[in-house]
Amino acid sequence: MKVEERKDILWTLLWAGGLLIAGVWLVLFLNEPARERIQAAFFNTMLGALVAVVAALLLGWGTAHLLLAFERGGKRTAYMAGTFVLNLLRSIPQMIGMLVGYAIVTTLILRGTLPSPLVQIVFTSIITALFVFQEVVDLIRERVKHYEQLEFVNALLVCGVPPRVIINKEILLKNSLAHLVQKSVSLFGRAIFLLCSIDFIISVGLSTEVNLVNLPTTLGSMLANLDSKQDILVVGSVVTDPSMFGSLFFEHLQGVSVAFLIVYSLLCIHRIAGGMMERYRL
Amino acid sequence: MSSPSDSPTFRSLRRIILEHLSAVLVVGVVLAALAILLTVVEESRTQPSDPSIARYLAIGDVDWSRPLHKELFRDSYLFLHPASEGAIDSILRNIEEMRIRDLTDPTRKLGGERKTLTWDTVGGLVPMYVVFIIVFLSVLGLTYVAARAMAIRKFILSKQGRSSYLRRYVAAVQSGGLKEAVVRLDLLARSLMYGIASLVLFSPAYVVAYSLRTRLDTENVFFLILLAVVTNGVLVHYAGRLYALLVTESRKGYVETAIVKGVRGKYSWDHGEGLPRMVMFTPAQAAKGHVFHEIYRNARLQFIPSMKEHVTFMVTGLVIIEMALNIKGYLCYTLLQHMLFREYDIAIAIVFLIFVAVKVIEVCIDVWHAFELRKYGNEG
Repeated sequence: MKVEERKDILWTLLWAGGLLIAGVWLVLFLNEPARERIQAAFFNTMLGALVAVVAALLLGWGTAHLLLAFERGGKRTAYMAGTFVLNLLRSIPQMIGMLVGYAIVTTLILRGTLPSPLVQIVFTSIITALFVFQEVVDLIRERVKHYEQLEFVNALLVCGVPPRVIINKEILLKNSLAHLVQKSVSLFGRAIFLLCSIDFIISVGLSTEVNLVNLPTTLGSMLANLDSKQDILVVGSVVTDPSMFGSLFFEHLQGVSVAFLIVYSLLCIHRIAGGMMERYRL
Repeated sequence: MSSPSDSPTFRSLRRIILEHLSAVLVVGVVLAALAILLTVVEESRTQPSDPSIARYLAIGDVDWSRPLHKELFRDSYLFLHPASEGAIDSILRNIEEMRIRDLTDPTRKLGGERKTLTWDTVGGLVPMYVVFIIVFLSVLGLTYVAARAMAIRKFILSKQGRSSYLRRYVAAVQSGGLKEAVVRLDLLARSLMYGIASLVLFSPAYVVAYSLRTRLDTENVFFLILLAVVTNGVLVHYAGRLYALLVTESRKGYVETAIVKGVRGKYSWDHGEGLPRMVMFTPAQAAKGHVFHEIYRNARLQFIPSMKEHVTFMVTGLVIIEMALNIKGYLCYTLLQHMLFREYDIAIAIVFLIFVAVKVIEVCIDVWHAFELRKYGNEG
């Protein structure tokens, strides 16, 4: 198979390679405390996005099953209520929803309900999942509907295979795994974007004096850090003063590397998802 | 004879509009309840400070926002008082709450006292809301045009079998050696430009805005619109969706049939049998007589409803830009400030206004889709 047909693998390797090079560069040229902060921020962001994807998949799977059960059971009111809530959640801009979620997280942290950073990351990720899981519901319902139109499902039913097994094993696991993985990759990118953005907004939009609660550091909050912001400002200066280009990689490494990690990851993840779409003709 | 308003499309449209209105109603009721609840909670919180906690806050040289100082306080307290860890945790929590309450007290902000939702405050929000809507509609329109052009260009280039600039450069070097490597440097430069453009398209708006802050007036409304169109991956996602639909449509049987029957099917630029470059901007007119005309029409019909997903993402982008850039006088910045100062009734009113804007756009998209369906005669 040619490289053009395996763009997802190519971009996965490029992503890993880019991160490796950035890591080595930071080891060589960035002081240890700053490097450790970036490492922690990167780890927290990736973990948060991963948890958001898992939560979105679980929520999506559960909701899709519920809607299918309502639809088949002839529970029209329940079905309509379910789709209504789903469409309503879809219409809420993610950032607005996450801001409300952030207010809840803050209250819970202040009350001591979310003591450890890990629990805080998981909780924030679940809020993120609430605003992206609808895509998983749509995908699962679309796949089930597609297969229901084929003889395949009727044949399995006649063979005595329970509908639950047909959906989960035959349709989703055996015939839609590529679709689900591609959707997960795409949601992973979306979750990184949303988590970084909400943390950036909270850290910058709210006065730095009012550091409401000490949430775990992510790439977004790291970028909002005063030092990082000053580093990013220098990027613009390079346009008019190219001689400063070199200093970006040595003197302004903290901000530039954080921005690079966010942007490069988003680019690669999008390309991986796009590559999968092309390869498997999704 | 049945009237047009009895057609399946219009019946379905009526149901959809009713659903949108119900959603606005439900969200309105929920938000109103939330506003009342939060205001009550807030009023109960504005009780006088606990003097026992206030005296700790008054200790000089202690910065309570610093974890180190908190830990030093914990050790000192445990050294002086025989208290349990739970008790000191409770004291620290109370100190933190009081510190935050003090820092986010509305009297600290310019303008003084706490604001509540009155006709005056609503009147103050109206101009900001109008600007928000204008910006939102401009972004929506520009993104649609730009994403359509990008998707069509990508589709046609893929049909031409054109490989990337970098791959063409590598191929040139492999075939012509060092000489070609120098002669075809333009391909490398184009590849580099394409790479930079890709990074900008995927960058969150705040990264680009902060990079340019020293060079440009980033609080300018035109810059805001440009940023919202170009960054946050909005354009790429939008174009990607249309491109995927174009590819799916082009694989359908009717395309082959049309070409066999003599409809133009070549994709070379500005060639008698091909397509003019203007097709990127006016596809419906420029592609007449070419099979791409039908591919585009059918893909667009499926693309219209999916625009609703992009609308919320677009609003998310706008919210991020207005909040992250701290542009005073803009709706989302004001929302953030009201949240910070716990003026929840006003914050929730703004959230509701944004939700209504999204819903209105969604209704418009549904109406547009219904009319397109009628135009195509896809009704029963």
